[in-house]
Amino acid sequence: MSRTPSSAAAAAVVALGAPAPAAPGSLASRLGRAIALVAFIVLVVVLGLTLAPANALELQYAVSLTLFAVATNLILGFGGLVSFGQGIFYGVGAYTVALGWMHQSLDFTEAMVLAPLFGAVAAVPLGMLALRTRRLYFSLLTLTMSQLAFVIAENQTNLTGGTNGVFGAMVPTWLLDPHTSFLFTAAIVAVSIAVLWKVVHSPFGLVLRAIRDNRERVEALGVNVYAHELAAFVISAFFCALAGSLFVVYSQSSYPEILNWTASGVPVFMAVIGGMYSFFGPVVGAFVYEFASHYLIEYTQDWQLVIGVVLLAIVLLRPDGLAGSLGSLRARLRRRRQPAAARPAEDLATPDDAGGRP
Amino acid sequence: MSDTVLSVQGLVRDFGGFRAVNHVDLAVERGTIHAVIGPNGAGKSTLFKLITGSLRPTEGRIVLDGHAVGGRRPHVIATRGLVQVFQLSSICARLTVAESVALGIIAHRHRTLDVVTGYQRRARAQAEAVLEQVGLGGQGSTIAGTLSHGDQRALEIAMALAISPRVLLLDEPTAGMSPAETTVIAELIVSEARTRGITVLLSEHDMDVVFGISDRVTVLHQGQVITEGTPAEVRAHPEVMAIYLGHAAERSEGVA
Ligand SMILES: Nc1ncnc2c1ncn2[C@@H]1O[C@H](COP(=O)(O)OP(=O)(O)OP(=O)(O)O)[C@@H](O)[C@H]1O
Ligand SMILES: [Mg+2]
Repeated sequence: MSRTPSSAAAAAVVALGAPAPAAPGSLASRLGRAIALVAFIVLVVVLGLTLAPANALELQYAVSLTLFAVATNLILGFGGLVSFGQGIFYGVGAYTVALGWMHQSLDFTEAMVLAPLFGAVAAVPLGMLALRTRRLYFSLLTLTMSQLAFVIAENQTNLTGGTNGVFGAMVPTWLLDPHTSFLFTAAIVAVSIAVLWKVVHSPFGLVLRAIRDNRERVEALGVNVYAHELAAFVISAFFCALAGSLFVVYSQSSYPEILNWTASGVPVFMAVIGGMYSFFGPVVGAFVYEFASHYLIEYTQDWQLVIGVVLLAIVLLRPDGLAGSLGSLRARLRRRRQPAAARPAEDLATPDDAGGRP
Repeated sequence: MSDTVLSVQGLVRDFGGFRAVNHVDLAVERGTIHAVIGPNGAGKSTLFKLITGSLRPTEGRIVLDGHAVGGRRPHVIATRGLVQVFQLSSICARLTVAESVALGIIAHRHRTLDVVTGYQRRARAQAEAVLEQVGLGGQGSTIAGTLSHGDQRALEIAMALAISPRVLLLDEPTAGMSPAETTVIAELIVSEARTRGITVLLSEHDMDVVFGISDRVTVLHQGQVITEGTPAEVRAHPEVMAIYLGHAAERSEGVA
């Protein structure tokens, strides 16, 4: 049964996404993290290679979605920008590969390199426009943009194949073996997530989190907030588009639905379930979402309704998601073990708020 | 021989039909501590926001170090060496204390787009020294939003100092602080001005602080400058006495 090993993987991700223990900077906790990370990667790879082909393919899809979720969370959790438009860039990535194959007979490798670049380029004008607005208006504007992208993809039949999308032998034969394509996807996702980790923990990442908390303050320190938000938006789009190109590796197709605003909502949802203030929260969320929806769909037609209710509950009860819940659980356990003295305050920020470590 | 670092000429700001700042002139000498006082609603915060660029002037000129900066964006004015500490606490609640100050250092060093190096580690180490100065030594890994009000104010000053400003604007820096915290902050302001030559423009309701540390005092009332002078001159000014007696009752109710 596919579910058992897959949910084991999900459980491992949950453990990994859990916030840092007592002294966030201590060597022991960093070592613990590194071990957990390596163990998780080994587990995923072993699973991917031993699972039945169909299940390996499912796992591959879930892994590619973790990149989509982490890339979206760069601007969501760390930048405070609720975008319902990241699906546009996912779609740009997928269509770059599909249309490059159909119209330009682009080599697959060339298309894979171009996909994230096109995503980033597309993000410049869209970001410049959307970032002129704030909060709800930003969300609505990005939502409108993704709906527009959807309509374009659907109506430009000559270019995009319209509603049916593009299907075909766009993926080279060596990548058709499920285990190979799983490894290929996992490697690209791992490297990309490592780069995004570096971004979040760089001076730029610190500025981004500060803007999320208080843009006026950051501006008063001489930082051009708009330019930094735009940079984050473009970096996010780059990796969203890369995730989109991996969708083609998974499905050997591209079609308008992946540009829909509901498709843009998926990574936001994953980040929120997993915990958007923790770096690995969205990874947790992606696995939970993917396998939960897989499971739910067998029981009810209205699985999206169920997910909507869950989302509402999380936003109302636990805005910091699963990672946050685990974090406060661990903090509570630790508190029971520790004397009351010298206990860092933990209510306001998730301990894994990317910055606990030096 | 005067060396004016910040000068404001004929500054006006209207909110609808209401004139909050009415033809204000102000000249701040380099390296001095200059206080702006006045009752609630006098226009002090509005004046400061005009100077930092978070509000646009309706009329008038603002000159910082020889450059006209009126109406420029706040981050542009900040890079010209002027930084404000807001009247209402304004920190980044989820950052740690050391990260908050490191943020200032990163901004000052133009490393905000750096995604490659480990510069924030160095900035965080430097931040410890600044935190020591404002009495927050050893609190580097505390989450800023969980600090007491007084400590948050001190952190804001530390963040502002981290960008090595030439002019520091403090809007009621000691508001809501305990007397002990007030003393620490007042001493800090004096030492920054005297040892590092930072020019300080501040608004303050605590008259002991104002008359204790300021070189010059400007009195604002209903958006207009009533008088300007040394603390002794201002204290003896009949109109100032009248305004403050008139508002004494209101202020003792804790409206400040
Ligand atoms: N954004 C605004 N819109 C409308 N009126 C405003 C606005 N900001 C300030 N005002 C008005 O302008 C006047 C001056 O306000 P300001 O905050 O500058 O006073 P202040 O001297 O800082 O007072 P306090 O000592 O209470 O801080 C007040 O009457 C206030 O109501
Ligand atoms: Mg004020």
